[in-house]
Amino acid sequence: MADDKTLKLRYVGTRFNGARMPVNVLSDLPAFRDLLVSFARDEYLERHKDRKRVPKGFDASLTLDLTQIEDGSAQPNLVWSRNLAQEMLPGIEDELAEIVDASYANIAQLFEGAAGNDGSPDLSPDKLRALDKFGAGLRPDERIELIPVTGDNVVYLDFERRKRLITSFRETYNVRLTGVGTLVSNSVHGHIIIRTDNGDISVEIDPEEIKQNFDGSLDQPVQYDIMVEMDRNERIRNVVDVFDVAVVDASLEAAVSRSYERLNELSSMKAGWLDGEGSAIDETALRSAQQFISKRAILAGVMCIYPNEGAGVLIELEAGGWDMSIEFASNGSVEIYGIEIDGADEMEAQTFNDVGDELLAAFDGKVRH
Amino acid sequence: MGAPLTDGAEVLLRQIHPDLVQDGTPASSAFRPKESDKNKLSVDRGGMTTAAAAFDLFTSNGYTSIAVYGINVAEFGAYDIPCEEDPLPAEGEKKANPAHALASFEQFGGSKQKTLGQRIKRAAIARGILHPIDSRADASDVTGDKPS
Repeated sequence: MADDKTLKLRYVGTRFNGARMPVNVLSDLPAFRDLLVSFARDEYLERHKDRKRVPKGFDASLTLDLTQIEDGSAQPNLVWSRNLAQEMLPGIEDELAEIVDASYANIAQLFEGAAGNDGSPDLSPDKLRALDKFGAGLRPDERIELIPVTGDNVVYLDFERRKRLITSFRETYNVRLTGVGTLVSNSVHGHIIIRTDNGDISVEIDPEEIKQNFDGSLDQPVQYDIMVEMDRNERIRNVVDVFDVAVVDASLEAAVSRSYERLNELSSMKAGWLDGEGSAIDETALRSAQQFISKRAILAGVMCIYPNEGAGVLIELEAGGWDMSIEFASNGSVEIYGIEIDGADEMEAQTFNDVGDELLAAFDGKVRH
Repeated sequence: MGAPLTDGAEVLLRQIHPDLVQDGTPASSAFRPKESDKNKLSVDRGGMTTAAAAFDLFTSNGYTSIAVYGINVAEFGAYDIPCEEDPLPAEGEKKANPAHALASFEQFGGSKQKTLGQRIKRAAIARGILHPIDSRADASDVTGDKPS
């Protein structure tokens, strides 16, 4: 609708390239809406000093819908519907539209203030609750930009700004941690201890689950995805939420990490790497190769990864009696071909649009007998 | 077109760029012509030079190599890839390479050249590295071919 408002966030960081939003950051979106609603309440009461409360239906009139994720890193578009607002609070939709604009600008001002020494902002408990969730999954080299509705002053929230903002008001902030640690203790009384780069983390787990999934796995690698309460000195105070904790195959995890490191090496190669020839490796090709590795992680240990002269990536491996090559091109397409190792049979080159089911079926058809 | 190479036992030496090797395994793309090679793979004749000398000449002419592999004329021939002489004269600061030769993939399309690259790579790996420059590896020259 022409009178709807589109609020645009932009997630910047390698894992957001190509309009990708990892599902564990999607929880930012309702948190952002909560933050917007909190500022909108303040704005409304500021405009109506005779009122102590917002009218019934006020929060519901500020619904945001995720309509699309644009490219450039990942840019979720959150649309405020004027029609819905009109249904909830008839007659004040014009004012609500102004309030949405003002609230968005206030959020931008809050983030901008976190960049300098503007002192502690006045943050109500509901704003702090929203901030504890919004951006909790950001890594140190990532940020969320607020694209301005008008003007061109892009402001952003990153790991440091977020920490500074929240800890200027209280001692701790919530942050989502993902990674692989080592299981150093498992207690039948319902907790395990994972040794991580952030220190030892005690995670409560159902005793029955410990018996089934963690018993006998001391010193094994454990993959974790948890929300923790952290203090200003980066010490973990408490585990707030557990999304995933599982013992993983050490060799598999190491092989996948090694493959990703190799892709990282390729990403830094400059044009002319092949004695004056050879283009710089394209981000799309690297991403496709990473997808393939991730989808066939079981074979990561036997994959060799090379640059291709045309900005692409070449993965080669032997499996199932076949010597296979998979070429990831800069336009996202993938070519696969191979030869039978102890025979004359050959798989002629076939091209696929992406790392989808068709490609994987063609690959599996050769390497899995 | 140069004179065809007819001694099936003659080993042809192929220089491998370091970025096309991972964990000691070369890419098949190093054993087929690049786009700019006009369907002919550049090699040096083991009958006229050694792997070490070929490596030295190649790198002193400004190119990069981390290993020298070898495929003989008969192995190329088994895949209908004829080989021919292609001596290179000195040019500017580049020294002459009288031992230079070409393995011609001309009769094959790009798709077939890729699987041929895989076949040639396997033959080369089976013979082993002929001139490693990695100090951790055996640094001896093992072509067994004497320069004429």
